[in-house]
Parts: sequence; C-alpha cells; structure tokens
Amino acid sequence: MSTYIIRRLFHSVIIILIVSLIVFLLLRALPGDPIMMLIAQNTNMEWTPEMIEALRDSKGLNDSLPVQYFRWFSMMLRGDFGVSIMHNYNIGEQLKSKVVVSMMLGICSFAVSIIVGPLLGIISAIRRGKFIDNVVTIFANIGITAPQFWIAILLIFLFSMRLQLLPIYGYTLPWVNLGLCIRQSILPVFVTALGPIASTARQTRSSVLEVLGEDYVRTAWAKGMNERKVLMKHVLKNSLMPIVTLQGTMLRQIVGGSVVVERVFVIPGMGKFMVDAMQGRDYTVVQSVTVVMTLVVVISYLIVDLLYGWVDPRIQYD
Amino acid sequence: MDNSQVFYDSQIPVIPTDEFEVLEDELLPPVNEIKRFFRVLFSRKIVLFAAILLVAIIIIAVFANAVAPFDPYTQNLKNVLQEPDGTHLLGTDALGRDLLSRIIHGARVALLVGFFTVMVAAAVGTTIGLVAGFAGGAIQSVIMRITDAITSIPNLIISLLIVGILRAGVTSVVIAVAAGMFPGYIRMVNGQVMSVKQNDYVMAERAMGASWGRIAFKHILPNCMSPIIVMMTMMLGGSIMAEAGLSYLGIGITPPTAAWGAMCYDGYKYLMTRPLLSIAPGFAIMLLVFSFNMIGDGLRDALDPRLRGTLN
Amino acid sequence: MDRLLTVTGLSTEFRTERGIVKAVNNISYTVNESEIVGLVGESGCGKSVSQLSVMQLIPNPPGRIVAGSVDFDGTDLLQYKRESNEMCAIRGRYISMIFQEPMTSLNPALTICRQMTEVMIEHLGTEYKEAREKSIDMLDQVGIPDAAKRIDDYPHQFSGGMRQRVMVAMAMLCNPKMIIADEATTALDATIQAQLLELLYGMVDKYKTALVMVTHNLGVVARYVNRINVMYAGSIVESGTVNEIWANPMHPYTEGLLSCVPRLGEKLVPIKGMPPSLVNRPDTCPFAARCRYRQKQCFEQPVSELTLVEGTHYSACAVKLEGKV
Repeated sequence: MSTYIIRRLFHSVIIILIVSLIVFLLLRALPGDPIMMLIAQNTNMEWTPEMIEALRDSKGLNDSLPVQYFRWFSMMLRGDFGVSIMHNYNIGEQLKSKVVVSMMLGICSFAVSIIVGPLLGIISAIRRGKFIDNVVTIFANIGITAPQFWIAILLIFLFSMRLQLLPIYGYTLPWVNLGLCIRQSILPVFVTALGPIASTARQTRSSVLEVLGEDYVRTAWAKGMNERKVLMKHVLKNSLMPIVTLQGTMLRQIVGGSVVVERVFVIPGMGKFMVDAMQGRDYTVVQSVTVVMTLVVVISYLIVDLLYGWVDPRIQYD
Repeated sequence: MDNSQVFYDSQIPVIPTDEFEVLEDELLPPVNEIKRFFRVLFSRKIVLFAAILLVAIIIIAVFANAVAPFDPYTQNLKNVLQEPDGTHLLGTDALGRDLLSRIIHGARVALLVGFFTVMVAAAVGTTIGLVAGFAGGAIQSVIMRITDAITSIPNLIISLLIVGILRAGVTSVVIAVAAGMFPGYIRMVNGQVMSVKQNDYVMAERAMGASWGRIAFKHILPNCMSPIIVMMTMMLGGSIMAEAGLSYLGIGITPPTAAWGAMCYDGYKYLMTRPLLSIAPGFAIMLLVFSFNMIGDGLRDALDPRLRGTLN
Repeated sequence: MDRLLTVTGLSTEFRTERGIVKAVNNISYTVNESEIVGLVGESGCGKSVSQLSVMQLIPNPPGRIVAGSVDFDGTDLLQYKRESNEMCAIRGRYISMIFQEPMTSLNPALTICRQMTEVMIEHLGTEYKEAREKSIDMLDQVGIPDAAKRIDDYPHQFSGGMRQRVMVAMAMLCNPKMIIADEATTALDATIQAQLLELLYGMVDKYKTALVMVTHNLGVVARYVNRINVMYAGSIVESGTVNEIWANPMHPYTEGLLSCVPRLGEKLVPIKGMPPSLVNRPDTCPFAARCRYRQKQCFEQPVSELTLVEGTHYSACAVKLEGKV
C-alpha cells in the first residue's frame, strides 16, 4: 500500500513537471514582447535601448530558457510565484485571494454535484422508463448540451433581472457577509455544477442498470433480500465504483468551467485572473495559474485513485 | 438412495446405428446488418428527431446565403436593437444587423469548426496512439506520461494557451480546441492496440511473419473504428461548445464573423431589454450539440456488439 | 413422503428482436419432501429458466411467466409479485438456489461474512454474532479449511470450487425445505465436481432437504436422484424414476441422451443435428427433425402430453407409446 502511494505520488510529481514545462514553453512561443508592451504603457518616460536592456535583465528575460525555467520552478516550490512583469505585483499574494474565492465556489459545486448527480442517476435507473426517469434524462441532456455561459445568462435573466431575487454579479467571502455570499453563490455554483451533475447522473444510471443485471444481484434476490436491501447493499456500492473514478474528471471540468463562470458573474477568482492575464500577455501570471489549476486536478486524481482502491477490494497495491 | 447398481448393470437397449436423414430446422432469415443498424439507431424517437434536426441545420448552413433573409454583416445604424417584427423575425443587434441571418450564418462557422476540430484531433490522436501502442517500452511510457500531463490541464485552459499563441481566428480555434481533445484518442487507440496485440490470432499472424503495418490495418483499425466513430460524434458536440466558450471569452472567433458564442457575449449587454440577442444564439448552440450527442448515443447502441439481438 | 412442490402448466416466454421465445412451454412436475429430483437436458432447453421461474427470478423484461401455477407447501407462489415481501420471505428461507457461475455469483465488494450473515439476519432475525458463529460452522461443514479466518475474506480470494462451497453453505444456512442447484458443478474441474456433488448430496441427506439438480449431464444425477425429468426444447418429454428410465426409455431423446453417457468399451452414439430454435415454434413434436422413429403424424399432430407408461413413468412420445416401434 505505502509503496503504491509513493509510486503514485512520484507519478503526480512527474505530471506536474511535464505540465509546467509545456506551459513554460508554450508561453515563450506567445507573440508580443511583454517588455515592449510594458514600455508602450509607460509613455511618459524616455526609454533608451540601455534602459530596455536593463529592464529585461532585471526581469530575468535575458537568461537562457533552461535557466529561466529552473529559476521559476524552484521559486514556485518555495511558494514564491514571482512578480508580474506587467504590473509589478507579487503574483503569490494576488493568487492567494483568487484561489480562496475559486476554492469556495469549486468545493461547493463539487459537493453539490457529488451528492445530486449519483442520487438522480440512481432514482432514474430504479424508476426506469417512468416519469421521473424521463425528467432526469431531459435535465441531464440539457446539462450536457447547453453551454455554461448560456445557462448562466438564462438564469441571470430569469432570477436576477425579471424576478430580482438574486444579485447579478459579484462575490463576497462568507466571513465578510454570509447572507450576501450565499445569495451570490447560488447561481454560479448551480451553473458550475450542472455539467458534472448531468454527466454523473447519466453514468450512474447506466452503471446501476449494468449492475442490476449481474449474477450476484440475482444471488441477492435468491437469498430473499427485499428490493431495498438488494439496492442498498448489493447494487449501490458496486455501481458507484466506476463513478468514483469519474470524479477526477468532474473536478477538472469544474476547474476549467470556473474560467467562463467567473467571467460571466464577474467573480474575482483564478479563472477571471487567468483570462485577464492572458489578454494582457502577462506570462508569469498565466504560467502560475495554470500550474496551480493543474496541481488541484492532479491531487484530486491522486485522491480518487486511492479512494478507488479503498472502495474496491479487488484492487491490490503491489 | 444409491442407484449405482442400475447405472452400471442395466442393459440399455443398443440403438441401431443405421443412417437416417436429420431434418434441418428451417433457419430464420439472417438478420440484415445494415437494416438492423438503422433500426437500432432510430429505435429511440429522440435519435430520429436529432438526426432530422441535424440534417436541417446542415442544409441551412450550406445554403445560408439563400436561406438568410438579410446579409449578416450589413450594418444599419438607423435600425439598431429592433424588436422582433415581420421583417426582422428575431430583431436586430447593436449594429443593426439581422439576428436571424447572423444565427443562420453562425451555423456555418460552428459546423466548420466542429468538423475540422474533430478531424484534426482524431487523425493526430489515432496516429500517436498507434505509434505508442506498437512501439511499446520507453517510447510508449513517454507518450503516455505526456498524455497524462495534458489531460491534467483543464481543456479550456489548454485551448486558451494555444489561441494565445496563434492569435484569434478560425484556424487557431480549430487547433486550440483539438489540442484539448486529442489525448482521448491516444488513450483509446493505445488501449486497443495493447489488447489486440495480446490476442492469439495476432500472435499467430506475427509468428507467420505478418508485418505490424498489416496487423494495424487488418485487425487494430477495424477494431477501433466503432469507438472512434462514436467518440468523434460525441466530440463534435464538445468541440462546438468549446469554440463557443472561447468566442464568448472574446479570444476565439472574433467579430464581425458570426460566431454564436461571440454573439451571446455581445448580446449580454442588452439582456434586460433585448434578451433574444444573447439567448437565441445560445439556444442554437444547444440544439446543434444536442443533436450530435443524441446521434452519438444512438451510434454507440447500434455499434455495440454486446447489444446485438436484444430488443431495446 | 409429503408433496412439497407441484408445478403445473408453467410457461415462460422471452420477447426478443426476432419474435417470442417460448423458453418454458407448459411443464408440470412435482418434488416431494427430502426427495432428489434431476432435471436433465441440453443447454438452452429451458431447464434453468424453468427453475428461475419457480423462484420468480426471471428478468422482466424481456422474460415473462405467462401461465401455470407453482404450488409450494400449499401456497401458489405465482400469486405473489416478483418483488413482494411474501416472495422474499420464501426465497432463501424455504427455497435456496445455487447458481452455475461461481466466479460471478458472489458480490465482489462484500466479505463472505456479510453475504452469509445477512441471510440469517433477514429471515431468522438472528443476532449478528450468532449468525457469524453459525456461518463459520456451516463453512466448516462444507469443507472450507480455517473457516473462522477465511470468513472475512472477499470472494476473489477464493478459488472457483471454494466459492461454490460457500454458495452451498449459504444455501443451507436457513435450513430450507428445498434447494435448486442450477448446473452448480458444471463450471468446475472434474475432480472438484465430484467432491462438490458428494458434499451437496451429503448435506441434503443430513438436513433432509429436497434437491432439484439441474444438469445436462446424466452421469451427475444417475447415482443419487430419485426421479428424473428430461427436458427438450422447453418441455418435459419424459419423467420417471431412474430405474424406469434406465431400463426402458420411452422417448427417443432420452434414448439418445443415455447413449451419450460414456461407458467403458462401448462406442458413443451422439444425437444427430441441433436443437430447434424456440422462436415462434409450431406445437408439433420439437424432436421430430432429429428422431429415428419419426412418422408422418409427428409433423402433423400436436405433440402429445406426458402420458403414463406404467408405475410413475411418463412419456410424451406418441409413437413409442402406441408401440409402433
């Protein structure tokens, strides 16, 4: 078991290394010299070529690529994300507040999806072909086929503009104003969770239906278990096993979705930070945000893997 | 009770072994595979509906110039933000362009991006998957680790990075969205190659001196065809959504090109007074993605050998 | 011996793409208390489906019990719905079933202990600790070494033969009145098969349980059973005690089956041809196409019902009954 965890950890570290390398190289390939853009912004100053060169040097952009990469990565290991080239702020400081906001929304969305998704799937599998199954299927199809921003727009139009029940945009941390935080969170959390809920519900439904046809379920019936016990004891655990593996992907979807959702609802989280930095060609910020997001995903994959081994006794670590 | 005595000692009448004709049970006519395919595919009404919808959207997109009542790019600043009426069925946008015509032309962009994205992703992913599976060893490990790494980055982020490098535009959006999708094909094809390689008939063929190339085309690609087709249909929907997402963020396909995602974003400013401007293009995205996903579902059922012979 | 089970006119159908399959077609048989009954026939002849119908375990859809009654100890089981509490109270308590597939019939996610104790807790209201003690004892009786330790293992930690022993132990837990063994030994090696048969027969003898032995192998049942029902294409074609059938098979199919049992120094005579498809079958004799005694009437008249030959011996072959051969 412990060797497995160590190997899995090692694997995760390698993935983070590869991702950081890919991101680093991709961003060096970006058109647009950040120094030139920085200069273009500060037109009130006279820029001589020497000054530009000095600025370049001070930002470390004159070193060779491997040197730049290792400097960046080793700084990151120490929790130092460096300074934004464009705006001279400490990325780590900025990132901290953004991560907190995104984490709040992400964890809420994940919690909602992990509870509601399987529940809907199980209900619709058990009541297969009945009214509730059709309702769940339609809901799941909307969740999978409708773009997030469109759902967000629809809900804003309905609940915020027409009914004036919820705020249109913004985010407040719960320890600042809990009531406002909840009211502001409802729509973003629902929009973010909708996709994962829909996918999980669909997967759960088909997984439950598959398990219902297994021999051991027939054995359970033959032993005289009633429907509730067959479902709770024999069907549920087995059909939720594949759902556990799915959750890593769902979390990745939530992290990626935050980019769009935070933009629509004007939430100062990682996603919005990323898009703003992207449009301002602020390399180091994009790099850092991508690596942090990937880190979240890799850790969740790791947790899912370990969890799966705990749920399914057939998995052996060796 | 013990019947062993009977079992061993009784004289069973010796059956004469003279020949006689066994009557063949008249066989049921063989199932017509193509007919069966279409029957299973369209057995769910919703799939049939999705197919009709898709065909309609494709026809509209191809003949967009003839179908659209107005030119989607002609601005008319005297006629901005019109309410829907007889001439402008869905009204006009902030630059006085006819919304319906823009949505119709947007279908072209969406389908184009969707098809090309999926083609690029499938071609690149399948090739790399084949290489990884056949090469095995270190090459496979390296390819699969990089694939793992790419699949750890959220799709939208990969696309964002790529569009950033290539600058906005249809081609770069295609490449950007495909970059988020091709690892799926690598994983699937690599898995197929690994499992087919271990089959006895492939080993036998190898022993008789068949080249890997022959095996790839004779056994592995046919085995992958069904899952690849299903994956491609499913990803068509996904790539159209991804493109819309990028365009909504303002880094995908940029104005004035009629892209649904960008139209949603432009219309959002007027949501209070002209909700159709942002809701109608989004609805179009949903219809198209829905029809692809439903057909993908149907294809999966129709191509799944495990479901052969069952009623539903 | 008292009558335990009376099955009358049981028919089960499956709806498939190609039409209705009459998997079980109007079968009737009886089982007495602590009697061992064999149900013999080729694969796909409806033996398993008939037993699953008795237990009401037919997956629906596509399967459906369309006619008949199953009288068990004075109550008609078919009056109860599949999922009803009454049916659940009988399954596992009074009738247990052992399935063919030892690898997939136990829940992979639960320990043997949980899977065994839940039967007793459900039906007898036993305390967990006592149920566990009893389960260990029962595992011991079916020859699981080190049962007290192995009970906390998961199914995948057992071999196929051992799992089937667990299934036997599980079936015996509530001391049921009848056990249905559906090809319980077919998937096992020959030596393991013999051990398991001895075990099964020993257990039902010890606890005076009735046993329905479903098999395609006459050799498996000949030694122990009181009564044999031979099934072909969804119907029982011959029924009688082992002696009656062995001495004087009154159906050409049984005759063919007997000549397929390997014996030293004798040549095997296979039954030619294939069993008929069960889709949309006419009601003429299903065996006629492969029968050496067939006559014109076999293709024209409906197949005859099981008719008394003598004693307790019944056959459904009109030609043989009329003494034409």
